[in-house]
Amino acid sequence: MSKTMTLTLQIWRQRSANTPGSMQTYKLEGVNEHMSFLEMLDVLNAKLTKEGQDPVAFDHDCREGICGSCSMVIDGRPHGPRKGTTACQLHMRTYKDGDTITIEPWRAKAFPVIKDLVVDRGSLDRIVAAGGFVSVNTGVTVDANATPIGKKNADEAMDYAACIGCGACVAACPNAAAMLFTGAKVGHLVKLPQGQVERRGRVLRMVEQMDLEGFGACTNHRECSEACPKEISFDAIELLTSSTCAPRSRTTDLRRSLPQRGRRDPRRPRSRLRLEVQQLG
Amino acid sequence: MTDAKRPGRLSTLARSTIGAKIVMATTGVILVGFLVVHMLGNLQIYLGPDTMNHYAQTLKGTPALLWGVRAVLLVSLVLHVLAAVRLKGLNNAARPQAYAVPRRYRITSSAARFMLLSGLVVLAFIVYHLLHFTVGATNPADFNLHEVLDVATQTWVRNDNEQLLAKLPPELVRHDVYSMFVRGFTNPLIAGTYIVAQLLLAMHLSHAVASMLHTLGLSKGTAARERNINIGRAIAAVVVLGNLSFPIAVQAGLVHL
Repeated sequence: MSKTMTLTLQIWRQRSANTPGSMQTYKLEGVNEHMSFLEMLDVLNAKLTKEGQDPVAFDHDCREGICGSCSMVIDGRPHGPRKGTTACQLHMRTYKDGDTITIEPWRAKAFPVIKDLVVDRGSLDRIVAAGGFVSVNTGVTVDANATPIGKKNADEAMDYAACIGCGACVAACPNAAAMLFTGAKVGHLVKLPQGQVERRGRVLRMVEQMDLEGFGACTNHRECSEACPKEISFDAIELLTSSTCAPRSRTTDLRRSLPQRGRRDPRRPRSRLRLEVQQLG
Repeated sequence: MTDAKRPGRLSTLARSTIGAKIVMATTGVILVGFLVVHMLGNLQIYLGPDTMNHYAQTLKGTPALLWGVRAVLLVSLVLHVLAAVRLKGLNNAARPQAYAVPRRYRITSSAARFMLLSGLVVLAFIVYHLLHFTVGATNPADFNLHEVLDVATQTWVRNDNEQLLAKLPPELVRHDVYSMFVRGFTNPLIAGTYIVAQLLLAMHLSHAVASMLHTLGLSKGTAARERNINIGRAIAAVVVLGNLSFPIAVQAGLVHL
């Protein structure tokens, strides 16, 4: 028999981007401890709809912690109290009967509120669009392991690629900075040879776009990586800084491993005729 | 925009928030380095008037080095403050609407959150400190103290006769920094001001050093970050405890005229 609880919810209600919002209080009875946080909001919305009130707008999609839609600050913490957990994977057993829970949207200039708890996170997409991709033709799908990549680099690239772009890092940052996000997007490419060719231009363009969107600047509070539901390492910011400054690649540079047009590859032996001429000379 | 019209890589970097981070860190290294050397140099107060005054005389005897260091420090300080103020402006603008419910931070420290406040107090203190002990504008009576070399015995003797000092060749006169130091800290109000400023400096440094090491790429991994936080606290403690000892020693009568 699962327990049920009665909760007091204080939720940010805002009709549209241009109308001021405020915190509204709702009482919700019969919340099952096995519900996810979003299911609890579904129950609230069903009740509000039945009563003829406007349901609370909130973003959700996969509800299994991988889409990065559920953007809400629960009791002063993005995605709520549990580490490495998105709001949709937060379960009501975390709470006790009679608890008061506050819910508000991400707060950042670069994340304007659309309605209630829904914010526009297009700014993160524009950072990726500024350079967070590989546009060189890398040919058809090759056999696995044809390009050897060290275990450490492969692991780190994979860890950075775990970023779901939810924006919790920005919401958690006292400065509303997006450097953990940008660092992760730079990181999963900079650790791989495929990411080297366009690296120099990419990183700077992404940083430029990040600043242009009106995100703040990192002052090393480290709140971002603590709030990240995918636990992206704070190393991402160090990686972003060094990748922005480093004139040359620190990892494998594909360009240097390929023979360049119009220039002789130093590893290829000179033509026999040339060698003979030199020896004669 | 074509590539040709784009601003150069370096200027783009300099204007970016990453550039500001780098400016904060590199000028920070210079300023922290100076703080350590400044504190170590002043420890010579415990070795008596002759050592202290000789140290001051040596520093002033190499004007190229003295003014070179001062120029580097001034430029570093100005860049550090300008970058900090710019970042604060950007960061305030980045969250125009505050959270309705107070944030519950997980890991950041008060030192990190109040860097600008502690920094501005330290800046005001630096201005006062320069006026007090470098320019001698706030307490001229305690500042204009000199020693004269007694050629017969080769010892330095206090002499405040201004007419005599003006006539003597400069190599026979030196600033009596030791007496200035002791008389400066005899006033409890001045000693208290120094103590308060040093406590805020400790707060500033405890976040600053770890932050600087991180920006310079010396904090890869959680273990290294924890280590750097401890290094930062240790440097803050050493510098500030050394500095705090000076007004306290004078107030306690351990260092006296």
